[in-house]
Amino acid sequence: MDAIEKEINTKVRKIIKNRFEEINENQLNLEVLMREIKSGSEAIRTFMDDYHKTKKTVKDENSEYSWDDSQDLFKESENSIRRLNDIHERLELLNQLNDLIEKELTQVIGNAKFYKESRESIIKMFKVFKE
Amino acid sequence: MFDRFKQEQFKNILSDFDQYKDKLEDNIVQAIKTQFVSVRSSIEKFKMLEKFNSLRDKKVLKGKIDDNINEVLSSYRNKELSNYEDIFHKYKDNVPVNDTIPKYARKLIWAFQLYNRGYAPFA
Repeated sequence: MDAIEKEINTKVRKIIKNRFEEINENQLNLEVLMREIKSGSEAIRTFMDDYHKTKKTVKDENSEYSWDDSQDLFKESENSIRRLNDIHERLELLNQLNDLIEKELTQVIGNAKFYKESRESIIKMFKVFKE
Repeated sequence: MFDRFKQEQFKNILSDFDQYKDKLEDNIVQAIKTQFVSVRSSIEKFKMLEKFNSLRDKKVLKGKIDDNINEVLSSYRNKELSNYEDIFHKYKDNVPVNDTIPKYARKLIWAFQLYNRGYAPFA
């Protein structure tokens, strides 16, 4: 079970890291990345839930087939889910700030320096996760 | 980014992000404030507020632009509205409208015009 868990986590993390690399900082389209993060987190969660359900069913139906888990089981999964959720929450804010600057504020604030500095800040915020 | 044994490093990543975010939000709030100061008429200020209204539902800038709304309302109440009140009391008995119009009609036209000027930002 630990090996399956490791494989799922490795796969999800790899997909997210690759998606981060693929993003063009000058256009910063985060929608796909955010979807992948959410799906990754849900996939790990589903695996954990299904495992617990299966174990419970086996135990209820025939206790002699029940088994003990290793101490580290799901530690990596819980860590992945927590971090993916934290990253998703931050990217959601980043996306809102980016939209705000690119769409809503351009109609109201006519200050080129403000836009240049804001764009730079947005890119710095994104790069925090890449470095 | 995902190493379970590097909790501190991940916390630092989030903390760096949050610091950049706070700084950017402060810059946005400052830019909005500067824009409000550069606009002199209440009508324009209220129009700007309307444009910023959608920001109030967002997670970013939460509560940070409410000050602008209060400032615009208080400036309107203390300066423009009290100015209209002064004008009303000063001229109500001798309204500055063409005197070929009957007296009471003249007063009504003048009062209505004054009311419309005061109400314009909300129209």
